[in-house]
This record gives sequence, C-alpha cells and structure tokens, in this order.
Amino acid sequence: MRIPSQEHPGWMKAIRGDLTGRFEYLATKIMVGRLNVLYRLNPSEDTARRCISEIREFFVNCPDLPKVRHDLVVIEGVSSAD
Amino acid sequence: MLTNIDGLFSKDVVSQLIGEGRRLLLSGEASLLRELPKGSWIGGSIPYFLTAQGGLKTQDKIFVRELPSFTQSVKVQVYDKKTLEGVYHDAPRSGFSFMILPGFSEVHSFFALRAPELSAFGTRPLLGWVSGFSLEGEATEALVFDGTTGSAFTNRAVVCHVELPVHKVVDINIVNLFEQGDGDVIVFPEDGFQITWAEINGERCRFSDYLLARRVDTKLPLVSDLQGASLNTSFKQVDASKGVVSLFAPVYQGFEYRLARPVGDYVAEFEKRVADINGDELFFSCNCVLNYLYAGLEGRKTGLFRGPATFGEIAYQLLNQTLVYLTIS
Repeated sequence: MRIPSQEHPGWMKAIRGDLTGRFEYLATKIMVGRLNVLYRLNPSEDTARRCISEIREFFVNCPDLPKVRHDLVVIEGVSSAD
Repeated sequence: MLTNIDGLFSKDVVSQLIGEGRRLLLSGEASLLRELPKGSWIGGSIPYFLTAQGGLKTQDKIFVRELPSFTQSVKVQVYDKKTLEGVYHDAPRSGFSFMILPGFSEVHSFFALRAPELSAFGTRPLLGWVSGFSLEGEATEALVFDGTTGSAFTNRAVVCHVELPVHKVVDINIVNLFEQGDGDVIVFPEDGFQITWAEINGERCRFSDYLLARRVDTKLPLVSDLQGASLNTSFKQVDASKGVVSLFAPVYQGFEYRLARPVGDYVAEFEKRVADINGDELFFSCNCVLNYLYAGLEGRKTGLFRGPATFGEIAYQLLNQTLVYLTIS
C-alpha cells in the first residue's frame, strides 16, 4: 500500500475528526476515535505531530486488506484546498 | 461456517480430539479444562454458551472451535502485563491472534485500560474474550489455560497466534445493538473502572447521585461513539453510600459518553442486524454474558453466532455487552 506522506492534509483532518468519509476497519475507528479525543483535549502542534505520526505508522504496519485500503482512500481523498 | 468441529462436547470427546492433534479453542468449566490432556489448545473458564440449540448454561460440557484446516501454524504464548506490550509484534503477518484474559485479574485491568496504547495497536487482527465463572453461588476464580503446557493461570493472558495463508482476508467486527441515546453528554475526568465524579453536560457532579436521581436503568450501558463505532461500558454496581460507580470496563478521560437507547426484543433486533453477514465466512463469535442475562437468551437461538457468553469481549480492546466475530474469506 502507498501511504501518504506525513505532510498530507488528510492526516490532520482525521485527527480533528473532520473527514467526511467513514472508516470501515474497526481498528481504524478505535485508533482515530482515541486520537480525536487526545487532540481535542490538547490541540497543540506537538499533539498533532504525535497523533499524525501514530496514525501514519498504523497504516504503514497494517496488513494490505480491502477495508484498510478503503480507510486510506478516506484520508487521502482530502485535497490541500479542503 | 469455517470450522470442522463446533459445539458442546463432553470432556472425554474433547480429550480424544486433542489426542488426534486437532488445534482447538476451548471454553468451559474450569474443572473440566483442568482434566484435559496437553495438546494444541487454549481455553478459558465459563459456563455460559450460545449454541445451535439456544443459550445454555452447562458445567458438564466444553465448547469447542477447531481452527480452520488451512491454518499454517499456531504459536501459543502467555503474557503478563509487562510482556503484553509486545502482543502485536508477536502476531503473524497473515492471520490473527486469539486472546483469553482471566476476568477481574490485574492483566485484565491492564489490558482494559491500556490496549489502545499498546505498541503497533490494531496492526494485526486481535480478538478474544474474558473468562469467568457461574454467577450463581459463590464467586470462584476465572482461569485461562495454555494446553500446550497444561498450565492454568489466574493472572496471565493466553494468546494463540494463528498464521493463515497470505491470500486469506481476516476481519474482526462487532454487533452492538446499543447506540447512544439522546440524553446528557457524560465526560469523566480520568480513566478507570471505579467512578466518583463526572461532568454532565459540562457540570461536575457525583456520578452515583446522577444515576440514582434519574433512576437510570443500569442494564443499559454507557456508549461512546468512535468514528461511527459504538463502544459500550457496562455498569457493575452503584454504591450510593460510598458514592462510587463500578464498571465492567473502564471509561476513558475526555471521551463523550451517553446512556444507551433502550433495545426492544434483543433477538429480533439481532436477527435484523446480522442478516447480511455471510455465515460461510464466520469462524468465531462470542457474546457478553450480560446480553445473555439481560436479554434472556437462555434457550433462545442467535443463528450461526455460537460460542461462549463471556465476562468481556475483545476486538482490539475490551468491550462490554457486544458480540464480537471473526470472518475469514
């Protein structure tokens, strides 16, 4: 799977809970849901950096499954203009 | 269904299956599991089951689920709360990991609180259940078993790492009939199983006072919504004199909870929700003993979703009042 770079705006949208698409893989939902809370409690640049690093690492290490690929599309589908 | 052997069997039959070298996931009364021979199996104590004949409590039989014939390798490992950090790193690249935790143990509490923070969380399918005991009479110890060594544990997680061919697609999912109601937003100031304070719509109050003043039906869980996944936390006890609310799973700081909307007839709603699930791909399921009890599942059938009725369900993290299932396609 090709994983978007750390700078891709979709990661930040995911951390803020601002994505319009819905995740399908249960582990993605649990992980991103938890990171949404972490960021809401402390919306600093440092928190954002750590959360983005964690979620990206999750996808780097996930198996190449249809639902995981779908979830990446949900994140990657965000353009920088959004 | 993706298993050759599935259902309740006597201890003697299970001993024979183990002797044949079959690779088994077992659940049953601790006294029965203790008497089984060593072999390729893991197990946990529980006397409640959902079977082809309906919900059933039995202390005379063992529920058996045989690993699929295409299983390539099996590795059983035992973890304490320190080594549990590595559970995802021990998992096979292709396949799944099946965990049984002893109920009300330190390792159970640790996993419940910290599972989402484990290294490489969610990067391999991890499911399982929490062992228990009969809820009638005196409470006994919940146990887990590593059949490869013939060992029983009260404070270790036993995990069966199951390697499957790379072309197999494994998916863990849940069926949760509970969803957030329209009521107050409840936020807790810290993680924990024992709760004193909460913020209700932003106002701090003693949580037990809140529940008692509103005569809340504590058979309905607290529900959080994580990216569309409704995750439950069930009530264990409300102690008005101490002002403490005890839970079967922890709540997490900052998460927004609501009390669940009531469910009508559990079985009827359940059948609607599972109608689209392909039974041919189903390998394992477990449901919560609270659903078994509160929804009156004894004697009632839940289709192909058969297995132990447990003291907690694991789908990457600890869940309550939820059916967890694994499909392989």
